[in-house]
Amino acid sequence: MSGRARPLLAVLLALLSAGCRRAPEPFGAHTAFLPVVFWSRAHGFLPWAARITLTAPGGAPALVKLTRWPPDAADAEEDVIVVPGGTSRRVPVRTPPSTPASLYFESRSPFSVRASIVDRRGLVSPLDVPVLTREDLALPGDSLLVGPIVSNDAERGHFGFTFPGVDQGAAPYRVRVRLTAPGTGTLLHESSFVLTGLPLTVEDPWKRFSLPAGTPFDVTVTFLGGVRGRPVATGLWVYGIISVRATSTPRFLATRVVRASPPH
Amino acid sequence: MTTRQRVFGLGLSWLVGVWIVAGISSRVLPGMSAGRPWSYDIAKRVTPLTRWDSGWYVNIAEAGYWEPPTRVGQETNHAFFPLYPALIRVVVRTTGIETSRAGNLVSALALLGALLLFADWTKRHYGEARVVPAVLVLLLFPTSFFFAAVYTEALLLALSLSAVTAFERRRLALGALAGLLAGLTRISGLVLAPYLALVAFRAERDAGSARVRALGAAALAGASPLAGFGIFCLYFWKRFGDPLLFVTAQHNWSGARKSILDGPSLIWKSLVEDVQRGRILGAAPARTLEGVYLLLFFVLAVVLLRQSRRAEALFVFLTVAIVFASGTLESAGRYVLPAFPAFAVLAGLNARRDFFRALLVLAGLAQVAYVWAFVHWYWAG
Repeated sequence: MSGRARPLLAVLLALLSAGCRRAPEPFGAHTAFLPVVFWSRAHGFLPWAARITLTAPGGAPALVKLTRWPPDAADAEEDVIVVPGGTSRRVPVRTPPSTPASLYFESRSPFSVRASIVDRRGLVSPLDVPVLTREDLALPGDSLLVGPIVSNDAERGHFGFTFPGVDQGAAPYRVRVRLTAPGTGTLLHESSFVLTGLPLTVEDPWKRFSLPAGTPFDVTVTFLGGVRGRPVATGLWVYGIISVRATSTPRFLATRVVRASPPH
Repeated sequence: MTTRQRVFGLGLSWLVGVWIVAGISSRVLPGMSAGRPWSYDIAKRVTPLTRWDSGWYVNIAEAGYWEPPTRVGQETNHAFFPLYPALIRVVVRTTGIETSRAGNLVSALALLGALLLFADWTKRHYGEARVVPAVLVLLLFPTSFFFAAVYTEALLLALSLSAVTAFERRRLALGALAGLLAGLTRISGLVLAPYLALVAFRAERDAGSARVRALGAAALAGASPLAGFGIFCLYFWKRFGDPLLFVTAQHNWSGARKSILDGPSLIWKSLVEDVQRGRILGAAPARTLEGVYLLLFFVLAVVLLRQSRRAEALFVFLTVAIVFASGTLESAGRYVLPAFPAFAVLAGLNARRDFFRALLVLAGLAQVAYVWAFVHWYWAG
């Protein structure tokens, strides 16, 4: 090999080794994913707070790694929490205010998580956050279905995209979004786009997707994969939330996954 | 060691130096920043030499062009040309590396290629002795760190030099290809058109070609960057139904409606306002320096003209004129970077060796300061 080719080969090999880096190794086989937590204390808005409790069953303690995405500061992105066996402990939220964030828990030992978003004044019913596992999430090729998203005199809905922060190396993700009329399945909108690298809430889908105001629709999101072509270790989730206008009481809509790939 | 090897070594050393400065800068007073306009995930993953407009290139590389803007004042990514982000995307898809790193890699490789071409060009036009001083001037010019950043300057410089070199050597197809790619890289690529036409005409005539053939070569050369821009417009036409979406997006970036004809008067107004409010020299050093760079390149264009290098003089003049058309002096120090003949002229100061060395040291220190300001979001360039 000529002297000139050697440095180029070295650069190429370094690039390939960097590029072929694998997805992050899981901290443990037991996982829990909170697709969205939220808190706020902005003047004029409901004072939401997130309450998260971690429990280790039985006598063995659980060493749980928590990944917040995004955290309120870089040092809060990852935490390792020790939960003595048979006890529960509250988890500091440490996510930025007024920002949807995901929390991902991993452990070698069994544990459970409960999470709810509550009105600090206690006037609005709490919103229980669904607790998912890594296996629930959509992999590239899979589709996520949620709906109907409505906006009428009684209720108003929105939806959002979320994923565990442990997979930030594979993000940002590309998705195809199909909005269809509930019941008839008439196509209202279809587009493909790249998500931001953080959980993304579509607060006003009618404006975002140029739909007539208030048109009810079902959402089908097909996960097309990461833009960098890296392996996705966990996956993508889409959530829908409907709030009763009179009481501001929110609830999660059920999300269904249609698999195109074998489960994790 | 040959001159080419020396030039390549200088380029590599400069890249290492800039990255060391950028790396240290990001760690020196990390809390001190003019603002962090990017979200947590972006701020966490991008390199220190990815700031300001770099974000648009990263965005196009990852997500492509968005829906067109609907109102004046709406900033969209259509104001940025496609070739550089397309190359970044290819590197990302091929290697899986983070997008801003891929951008820095494309810039670095383009710069190294550009330096070798610049060395050859300088040798042909000014002689061997001018090569290393010219390369040093190019690398140590205060704003030259943009050649390493996620910006199009290095790629445009490489493509401009490729086109000029090819037409000077009468390799028309290669020259036209490089010219076309330059037209797909940045609006500054368009000012190559008359330069390439004159270079091609001159080369053909010097080789004894008939006038008609020389005119044909000139037409091909001049049309190549315009064709690149035309392809960009056609793409927008086919995809969004608006061939002039680039122009619309450019105008939408400013808060008010304006055209390129308003540029000089807007600059004049801002100059008058700066003088009246005392926003010059020590009160606004970065802003004043932008004007100084522009003036310097104007003077260098005049010097080129006096050296009877009319084609090169025209290229430098037009590069300066782009800034006037933009309506703002901001980024003038970056806009002039692709005007490579000016650096070869400036290297003529090497005749006064101590003075030249002192200038290089001063310019290098200014570059360090600029890198720090850029990394900390104080200066957009």
